[in-house]
Amino acid sequence: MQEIIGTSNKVLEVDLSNKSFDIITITDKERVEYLGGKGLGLKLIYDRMDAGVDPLGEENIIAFMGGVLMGTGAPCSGRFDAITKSPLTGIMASSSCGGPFGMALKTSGWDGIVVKGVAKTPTYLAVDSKGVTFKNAKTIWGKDTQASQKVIDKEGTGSVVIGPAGENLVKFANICSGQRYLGRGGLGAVMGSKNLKGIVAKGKEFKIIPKEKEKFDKYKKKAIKYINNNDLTSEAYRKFGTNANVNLANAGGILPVRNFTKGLHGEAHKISGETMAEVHDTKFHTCKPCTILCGHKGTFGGKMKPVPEYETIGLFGSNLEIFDTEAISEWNDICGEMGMDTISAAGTISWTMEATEKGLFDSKLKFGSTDGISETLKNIAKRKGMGDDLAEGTKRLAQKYGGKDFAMNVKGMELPAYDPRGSYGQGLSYAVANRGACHLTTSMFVLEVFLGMMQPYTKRGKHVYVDFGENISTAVNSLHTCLFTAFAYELEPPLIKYTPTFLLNIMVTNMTAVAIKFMDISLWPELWSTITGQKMNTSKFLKAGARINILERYMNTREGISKKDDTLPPRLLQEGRTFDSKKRTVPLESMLKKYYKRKGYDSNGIPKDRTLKKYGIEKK
Amino acid sequence: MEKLKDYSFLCQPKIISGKKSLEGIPLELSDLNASKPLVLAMNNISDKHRKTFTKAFGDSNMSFTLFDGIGQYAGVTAAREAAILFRERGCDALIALGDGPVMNIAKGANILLSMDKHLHKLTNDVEINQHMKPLVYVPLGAAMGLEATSKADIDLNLYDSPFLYPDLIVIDDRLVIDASVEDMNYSALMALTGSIESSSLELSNPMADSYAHASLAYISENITKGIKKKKKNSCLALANGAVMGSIAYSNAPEGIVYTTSKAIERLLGHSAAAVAGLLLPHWLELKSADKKPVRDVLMLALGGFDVYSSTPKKERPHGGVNLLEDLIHNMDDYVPLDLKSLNIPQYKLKEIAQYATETNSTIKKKDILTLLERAYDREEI
Amino acid sequence: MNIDVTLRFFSGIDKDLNIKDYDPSKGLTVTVPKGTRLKKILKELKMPKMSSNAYFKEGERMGLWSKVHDGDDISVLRPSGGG
Repeated sequence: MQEIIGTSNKVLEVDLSNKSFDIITITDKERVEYLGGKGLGLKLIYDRMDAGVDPLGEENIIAFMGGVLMGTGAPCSGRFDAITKSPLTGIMASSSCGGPFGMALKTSGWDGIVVKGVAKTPTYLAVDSKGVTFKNAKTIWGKDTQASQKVIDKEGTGSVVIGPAGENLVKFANICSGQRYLGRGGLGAVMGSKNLKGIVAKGKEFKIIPKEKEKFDKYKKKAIKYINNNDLTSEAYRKFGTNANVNLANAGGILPVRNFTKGLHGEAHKISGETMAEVHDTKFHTCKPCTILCGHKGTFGGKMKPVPEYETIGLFGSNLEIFDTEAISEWNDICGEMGMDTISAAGTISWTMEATEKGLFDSKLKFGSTDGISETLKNIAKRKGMGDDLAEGTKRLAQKYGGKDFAMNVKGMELPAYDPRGSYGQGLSYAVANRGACHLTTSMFVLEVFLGMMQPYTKRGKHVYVDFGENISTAVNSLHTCLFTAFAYELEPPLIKYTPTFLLNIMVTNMTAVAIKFMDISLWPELWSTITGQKMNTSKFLKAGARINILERYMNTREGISKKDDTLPPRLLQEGRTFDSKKRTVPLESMLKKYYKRKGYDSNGIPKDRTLKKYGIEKK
Repeated sequence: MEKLKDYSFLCQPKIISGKKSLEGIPLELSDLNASKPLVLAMNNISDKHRKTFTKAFGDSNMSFTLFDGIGQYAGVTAAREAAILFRERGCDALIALGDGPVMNIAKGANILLSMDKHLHKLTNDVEINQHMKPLVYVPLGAAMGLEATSKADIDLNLYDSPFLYPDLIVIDDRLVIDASVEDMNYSALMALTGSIESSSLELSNPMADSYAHASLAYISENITKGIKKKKKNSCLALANGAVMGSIAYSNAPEGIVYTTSKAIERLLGHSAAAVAGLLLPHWLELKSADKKPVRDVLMLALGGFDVYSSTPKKERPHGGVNLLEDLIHNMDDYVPLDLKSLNIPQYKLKEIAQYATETNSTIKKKDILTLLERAYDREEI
Repeated sequence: MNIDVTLRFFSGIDKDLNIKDYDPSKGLTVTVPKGTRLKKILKELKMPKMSSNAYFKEGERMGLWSKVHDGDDISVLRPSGGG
């Protein structure tokens, strides 16, 4: 097997219209400034795509990017990104997952693949170290994601495919790799609009060797130690998966219940990770390589299946007032096979239920009832009957039928399963996250509710931490490594680990900027640096994250995004949760002003010229 | 003079305007056989407005219930909550202390209370065919065009019935003077749109024309003094202009500029008033180019009799459009240069046109698209 | 004067405490003197790593030193991360 020392710095550029491909060589400057993964993918698209492009049109570009950590054996480094202009939101979106395609592409010698144009007929791409072959996908067009992969995986070690939802341009169609999904933003519909059924990579042609192997091994050992020592990454996730969050979110009043009208429910424990571990006899089922092991599988309906992840459980479960894990597993399967984002699908169903109650929409769907949901999900994927309307997502549904006050989305992307009325920082994060309502850009609910390191019901310091969180998560998504490593890498260093929580709470809430300076986040840049052989320290790493974040924001403002879009659904700004006697809502306005100032945006949320200049972003 | 065509015109509300108008509300309510109003207001209503309103009731022995949970979006949820509170407190009249969503919610609550015993559903097939609870509208200077009309926009459904007119409109100078500069500009732009579109239609009538003409005159004469110098009398005149524009609009079918700017607001979040300010002159230019006459009363209303009489007849339509452009130019900070400057991607224009025709099927998609394309890039004209 | 307080254990804590026939829908109700602090109740139950846990009442976090009141319903969990 041949070796790649560091990273290949080669990206395939495919033109489906002309059935041709080219090779992009990544310069050292691009690598240092944009790191890899999401950052580099975004930059490549920025350089090649004008503003104002139709997300489902020929000119949209989709990039699949691994990071420099992929293939090195660094912990939790099996994730890769897809970046494109989202048909759900009309702005830039990226999504990451731990499916096998990333490794297959990397070990075929490529740091990424960038696809533009439209194929004349259904097509899939076969990638190896020599380049790309264009293959006829007619026989698999119409097949679900698992059946499609079964066919094209014969030609490689990992693939990405779309299901019927992507083919039918469902606005929240996702992309499948193995049994993982590039979930959010309707990336599957972008592939569908290009007649691109999938991409398979041969893999195992190259071995990836870090440039400074000895140093790398030292940091790798440290990283594994941190992960194994940390309570979150070694205990909660390993035992119960992400559904360990159900009881926590419920106890903290931030569980979505009945389309975000309530924040807790007496039956929430029935869909928790603890209950599912017992009832469904769960075992590990994770990305490769993974040290955290948050993914699980279990016995549902007599068959071994992936356990639905927390977002699916929260939004198909408590948010619909349904506490039947078998039913939720079935819907998880349908979404997986059809290739649809469970968060947006479930959010759309809950809007439909409430709109039906209020006489704004005609359906038979009801809160608390499993009736009709399976059929509805299949109809969404096929755009059949009312499924055609629902396939557009809550923003467009509300534009057509009303019910905007309970259309739980930001910028068109449906809300994840954390109610920000119990976590003000999360409210700010949802409102300003570049791709729309995103819980991963800065997971403030972890800090404010789960770990108790920040006061949830105060505005103080939230703009500082959201800014920091965005920069870190963007940088981590550009390495690329799993965001869950943050719990270990940020919390295990002695200064944080041995400081009592109440003290951390006081410092992080009241002296946020100072507290951040004391955080040791050096492991990530050290891993990156020892792989590439290029110098990278914490400050440069954070600056790269900020650069990528601001570039993405700038690209969005060119599409019309401004302050009017940095908001939350009216329900979260005007109505309190039913259990909360104080009827607290998110005090967004003042947090937003401070956030803009910190980010270097003007009062309308547009990056100032001097901010762009600071990060070396050339206006286009 | 033109031959008088057959027409129909309705203006329901009694209007009281000027100093201490608020103090007249209790007496007017008792004339409407009401004594326990539910007052609806925005959730960010100022203390000053709250106090002024409360004081006005001071000597009357009349008390009121306040519902101040209204946000920017007028949805069924808020209308239901208001209706439930109305019933719980045994109220017998509604007062909308505010514009836009406040008045829409008040009308929505009124529909629920009067037409639906169970306060259950507000569907757009509800037939509003009877007198409803007494409704009072108290503007705060940020009118968006539907308040004084027979229409209500609730959860994107447009309800239209003569029974939706407010019974009473109270324009008090103490309240309208505090509107923000932005709100005043937007209110003026919506009033201009309503007035010009209603008086430019082939089926316009002399009564609607007179309201439109007066609205245009008040706005053009007071926009600078009211907005820039915050003169009480000018602010009052602007609020009156907005009401008159609404009444004119209420007696005409919805026009292309109003429909299109509302579509852009709903789809993309840009202010309908700002977009209307951009589209209005373009629409008039298209009308002139299409040899459909722009009525010369536009010049009379905006320029006054002296300018009108000294302009040759043939030049009056174009002169009127120029005066409109000059007037809108005074509101430059709030009216975009073109649609491109709002970063609206060009591929979205078809979607906007489609959406607009779905909300108003009397207007052709191709006409909307022509208007949008003309207004897209100023450099290309 | 004695008061009743309900504790609900999650994250497998009920197993660590060897609470027999634990029903998560009912929790564990204990009777304690008025003014007792949460820490004391947990100490008597032999709760390990007390300070690592998260405690909630009515949707809000509470500290180990908080006094409990009659009818309190307190959730005891191990923290988790995002997902």
